[in-house]
Amino acid sequence: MSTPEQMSRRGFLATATTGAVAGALAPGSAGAQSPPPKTTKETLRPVVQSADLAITDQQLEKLAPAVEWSQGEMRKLREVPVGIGGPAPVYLPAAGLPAKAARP
Amino acid sequence: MSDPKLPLETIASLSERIRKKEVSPVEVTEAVLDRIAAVDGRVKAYVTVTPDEARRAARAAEQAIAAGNYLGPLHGIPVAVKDLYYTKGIRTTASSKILADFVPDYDAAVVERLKGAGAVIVGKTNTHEFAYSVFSPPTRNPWDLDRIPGGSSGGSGAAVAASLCLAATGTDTGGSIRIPSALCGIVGLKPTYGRVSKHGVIPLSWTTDHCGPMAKTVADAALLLGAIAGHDPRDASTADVPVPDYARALTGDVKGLRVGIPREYFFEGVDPEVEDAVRKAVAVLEGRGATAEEISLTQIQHIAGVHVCVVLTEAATFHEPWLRTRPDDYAPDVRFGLEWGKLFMGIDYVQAQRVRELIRQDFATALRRVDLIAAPTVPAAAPVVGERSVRIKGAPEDVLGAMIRLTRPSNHTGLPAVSVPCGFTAGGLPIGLQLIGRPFDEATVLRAAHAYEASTPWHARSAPI
Repeated sequence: MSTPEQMSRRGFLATATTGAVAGALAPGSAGAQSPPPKTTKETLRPVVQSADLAITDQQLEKLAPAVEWSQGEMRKLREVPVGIGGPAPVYLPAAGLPAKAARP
Repeated sequence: MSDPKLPLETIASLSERIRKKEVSPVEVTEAVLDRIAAVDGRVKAYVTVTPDEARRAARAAEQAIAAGNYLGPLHGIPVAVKDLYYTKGIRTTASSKILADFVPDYDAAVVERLKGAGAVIVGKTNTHEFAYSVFSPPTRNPWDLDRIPGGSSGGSGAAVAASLCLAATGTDTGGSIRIPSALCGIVGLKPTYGRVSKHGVIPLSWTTDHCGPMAKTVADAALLLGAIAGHDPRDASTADVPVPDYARALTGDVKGLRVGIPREYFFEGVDPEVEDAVRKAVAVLEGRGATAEEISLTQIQHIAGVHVCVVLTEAATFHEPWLRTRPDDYAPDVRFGLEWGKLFMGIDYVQAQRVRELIRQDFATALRRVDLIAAPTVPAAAPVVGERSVRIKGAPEDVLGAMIRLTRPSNHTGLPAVSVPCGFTAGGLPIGLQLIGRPFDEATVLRAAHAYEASTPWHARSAPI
């Protein structure tokens, strides 16, 4: 179980400086007067943009167990051997079956 | 004074009487509107009742039939539409504060087709807000008003069960047609993905949303499906495949039909009363000449992760503008799910779709060996209003998670699946049998469900309201 601090809004929003990061990554955009902001794991991989997140700390605390559970599920999905196959281009049922469906 | 027995009939029986001009669509519509006025204060199935529009449509049907222009079995039949479908000139709220005043200027494709078949729309039924859960407040279950109707198409399920319409439309993203159908003791069909147009339906999750019928009997569901199915160029996900005559497919013959009983997942964590009823239902099909055999679904254990990622992410995508600007206008549980959906990463979503393909192939392999898969629709009967957790075999489980557990696989495989009543608990609550079929083979799904229904008395019981 994550601690409230780990799952706090601040934790999710640690990436809110992405504007600065984007500037740092843009070719030729480094200002002469200020050194480029340090690139960190958190600034490089934002989970959400703060402006897009209306959630409060209190609400986020309630969400924490669910998020933690789904993150565990995502870790499991990444371990599933899927070869080199991608998602189906459309989500229609697998091809080749309708012909068999005609059997009385 | 209208005839109070008319709303209690089925479409199959009433349409025959309308065709023979024994009863008028106006009489039937008035009887349904009277019943809504008398009963819906307790059931709360409707968000909006449309008596003026219904009376106009009923009079038009009456005149057309009198002039010899009978359109078919839905002509003059009062039906309800889930409040997620656009209805021209009629409020479409998705049972939400956000769309409280939204009046579309066109009809959803399904509504167009229903009107084209001569159906009389009597109102818009309640949904869990934006179809995002299974409680559907304030609607109550007609079998026990202290219990939930299920959802998200809870208003449609309750309206059909309480005879507040002859049939209704639902939508199904994780089980939202089949769950309320099972809990309310009616028939609900989630067709194959691509069979019915979603044009003009407020989305929850584009790749798992389905539109379909909810009715008192399998024959009525077949009639409704026949009217709403078919390719629609306005919905790129619809398939251009022929639509068979579903009503004619109901031959009663299931001899030689092979029914698969999943070894994994579908019978785990199921209330013993429910499991017993479903296994007895399979035995009934065997008694009519079908054969049952165990099948294995080796990828099904991934379904929880796939579902939560795909549905929550897609829902958060659709709702993102409102979630940013009007977050406090969502109910807390819906907002919870939407905020959660924003926290998945792109690679998780794509990986979930890749694993989803494995699950689809797994079901496809099983359905080369059998014609149908039988399972419970939901693992327990309708929970009490206000409960957030149910105990199944002594273990507590979140109500939402429990209710969608056995239905969500078919949303990701796209396979057609029906829920048909298969018994009652000792407490008198309905139990649903789920039959899952091959893609675009709703005819076999309906044929088996109809044969089962014809051999059992469950559909003949009416909710005590």
